[in-house]
Amino acid sequence: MKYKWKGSFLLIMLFYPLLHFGQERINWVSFEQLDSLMAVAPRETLLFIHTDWCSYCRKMEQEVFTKAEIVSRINSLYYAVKLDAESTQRITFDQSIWKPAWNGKRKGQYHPLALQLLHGRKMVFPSLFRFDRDFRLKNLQQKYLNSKQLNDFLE
Amino acid sequence: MLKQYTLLASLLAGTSTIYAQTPLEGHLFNRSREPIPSGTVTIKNSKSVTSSDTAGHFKFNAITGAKITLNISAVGYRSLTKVIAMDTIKSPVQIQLEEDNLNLDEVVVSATRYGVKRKDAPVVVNVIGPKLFNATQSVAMSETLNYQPGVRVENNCQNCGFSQVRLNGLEGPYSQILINSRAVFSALNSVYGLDQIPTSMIDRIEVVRSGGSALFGANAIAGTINIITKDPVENDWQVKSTNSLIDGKSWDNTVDFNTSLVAEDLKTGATFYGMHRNRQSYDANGDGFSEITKLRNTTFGTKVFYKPSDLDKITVDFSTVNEFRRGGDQLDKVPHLTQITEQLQTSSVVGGITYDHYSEDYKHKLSAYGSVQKTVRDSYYGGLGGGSTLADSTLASNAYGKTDDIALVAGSQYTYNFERDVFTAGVEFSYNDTQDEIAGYNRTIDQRSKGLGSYAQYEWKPFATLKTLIGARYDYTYVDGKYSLAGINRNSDQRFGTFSPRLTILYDISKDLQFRGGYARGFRAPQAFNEDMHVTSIGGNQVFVLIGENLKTEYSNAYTGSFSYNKNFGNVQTSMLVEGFYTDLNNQFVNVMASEKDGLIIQEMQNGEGARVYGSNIEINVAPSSWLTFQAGGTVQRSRYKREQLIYEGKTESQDIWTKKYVRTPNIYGYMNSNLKATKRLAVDLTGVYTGKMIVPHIQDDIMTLKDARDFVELNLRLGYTLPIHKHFSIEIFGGVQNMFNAFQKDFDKGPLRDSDYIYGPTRPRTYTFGLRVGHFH
Repeated sequence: MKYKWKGSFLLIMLFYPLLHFGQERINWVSFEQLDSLMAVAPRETLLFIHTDWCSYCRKMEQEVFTKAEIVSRINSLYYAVKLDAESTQRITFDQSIWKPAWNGKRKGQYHPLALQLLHGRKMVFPSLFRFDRDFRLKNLQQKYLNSKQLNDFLE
Repeated sequence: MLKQYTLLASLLAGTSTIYAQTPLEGHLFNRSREPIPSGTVTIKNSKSVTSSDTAGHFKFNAITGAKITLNISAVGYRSLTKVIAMDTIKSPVQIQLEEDNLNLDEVVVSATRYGVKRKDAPVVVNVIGPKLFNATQSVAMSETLNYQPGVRVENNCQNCGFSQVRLNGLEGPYSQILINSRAVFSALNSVYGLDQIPTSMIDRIEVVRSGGSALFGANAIAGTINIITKDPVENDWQVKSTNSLIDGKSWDNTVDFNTSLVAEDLKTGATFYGMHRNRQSYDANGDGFSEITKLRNTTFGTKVFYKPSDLDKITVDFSTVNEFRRGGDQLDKVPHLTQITEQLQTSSVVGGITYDHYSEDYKHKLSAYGSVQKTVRDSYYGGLGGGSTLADSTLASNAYGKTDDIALVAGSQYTYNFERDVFTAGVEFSYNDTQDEIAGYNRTIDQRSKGLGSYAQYEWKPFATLKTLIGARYDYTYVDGKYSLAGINRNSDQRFGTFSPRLTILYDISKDLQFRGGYARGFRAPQAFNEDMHVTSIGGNQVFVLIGENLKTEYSNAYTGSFSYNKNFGNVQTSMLVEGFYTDLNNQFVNVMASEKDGLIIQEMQNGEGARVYGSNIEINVAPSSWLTFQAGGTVQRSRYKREQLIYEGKTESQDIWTKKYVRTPNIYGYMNSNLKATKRLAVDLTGVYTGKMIVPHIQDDIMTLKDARDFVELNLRLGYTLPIHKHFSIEIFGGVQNMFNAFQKDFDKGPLRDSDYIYGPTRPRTYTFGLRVGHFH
């Protein structure tokens, strides 16, 4: 009996990741991909700016961006782009190269692209941008959005 | 009927078909008269839609009706509805749209729904977070506080492990301990409370040195220690087991857990935490008497919130603590058959409720809260004390005591956010009733204290570089205490109001350099504080604190000034803080110990003739890269009575002890803390505490001497390895050694006649620790 329990526990542990397999996920694209996608087939863009330490951002990624209706809506109508505001990566976008002058990732040291996008606004996370087909700002929210609010935002 | 008239009217109009087939043209432009392209114009209740061209021009070819309603919308502009009467209109229509800034400012003030990098506050706030709890392998809060400048935790009793926090060298009662910014720590609670708070319930501890804000209580002269419990966002859980072996002899095992659940819409959520700790007693010198107390503690708590709307939040919290501690000798015997026993069985329940409300525009915030705490304690402070007479054993069997303590806090706070400034005001009522009785010593404490405090504070930012915090509080205090001990009776009956102004400024001298300065006034009413609830033993006799006659209220003025410098040198991020503090105390309370009389030693609380505590705190943070951080800090200070102060009354006058220096207060102390994240999975932490030389009173055969205690360097090492099993499941294995060079007091007294208060320096000898943590954590 005891072994049965242990055995089933182990089995669950091993196969647990498979439970999430096949579940549809948001098809996040990079800024570089976005550039070429917009040239070929323009769509509205959803931009999600987050940081490592922002628990609201993590909660959105884990619980809101995984909802089936949200996933299908975003994947069919939008290009979805994620930007870590403290990223140290070099990003090519809109005929420019965005590259931080530093190597190490650090809290409060923001990527130039994040600074550009949030220019004149408070540096708070998550920040969600909705751009139209011509990449003009259509809507902006700088707070946690639950699935209902995100749906309204994408309406 | 109406239809017929309309028909008739149009027939009469004959060929003139102005209403039916008019074209409508117009222009969309913004405030600076620039054309708005791609604007959408719709005619209400019809299917006609058009959009503006690059010149902002739009056109409907045919319009029916005398009056139409246009809906105009454009990206980046506020939608507009316009009613147009077709007969009076001049075509083309000129329509101006207002730019929409998306109401960002409002959103940002809603405070609870986004993560912001911690802003610079006018008062220096030091934060101790979960990283440091881990790095120092702490299970209780008392073990982490040392790692901040100006903060020192000391153990004051070998028998019961009574510990206290000293801020800037001032004793425990000079600082205020808050839980979620509320003063729920009662006089009794703060005796052992520091050991009772598990780190698993704490999100962070904010230490503010010097009472800089009017929001803090009037007794927060040295500062406040604000314990912020976890306010969950994500769904997390973890279970941790920590096992320590003190000096290879005594085990200290702890299991703790915490878990949080929050709904996806953030409307409801809960956290649960719990801890069970079992520590064996430790005897450093093999005399059969404990130096570290035996401890068994079970804590459980929860915090639940519900948001009826986006603007309202109700939070309920609840926790229980059950603790058994015992020190002395022959710990498995009945207390009254031993030489010395201090045994405490404490059971305490805390409950609270908070209601927060925001106005629609998030500018007004109103909070109302209430907290109650009830503690029952069975105590034993006594023993045969080396004697074997009938009187000794009668006294020993009557040394059992009982304490009841109720503390209540209720208040409300209002905040208004101006464009740049913030106004805060509030009232708070507190009540504390303490009953303590030990029949054998004819000792009773019957104390009721009530306080009504009101405060107002204005955060004024006249320039971008200057921020000031101007505030004041008025406290009305009522203390009614009756204290008796071995036939001596004392009273404290006080009603008085005190006004305490507070001022703090923050000035940005340059981008990297900031100046902060502050002034605070505070007071302490004559009443029993934590150490008075604790009885110790010296030379086989019990030591009691008794409130003196005609005690006056103690007042203090505290001044601080500091410079902080933040700069990045390439990849190296540095910050440095240099702070000076000066506290002037008047009528300060001093416990004057008298020599033994009828088997009792009395420490009488008296007013001193003033004292000065001053010095400076230094803090340095260096982060050469994201995987290596280094922090160090220290304090250099002087604590002096203005006149020679009597602290011990000997049998003869020549044995009296006078001092100008504060005892048990080192002039230099500090800490360091370095964290190395070697790989994503392996973390190495090296932490250390330095305790400087100090004078410590020691009593032997009724004679007090002031001994020079040596200095100590306590170093701790911890290694942690995390195995990420799955995205939502990790296992961490950790191990380390605390106080690796075994810097520990060597000259403890031996036997039943020891001075139990003669204890100083690090709180534990070399200790090996290992453990396991599983769960979903970050």
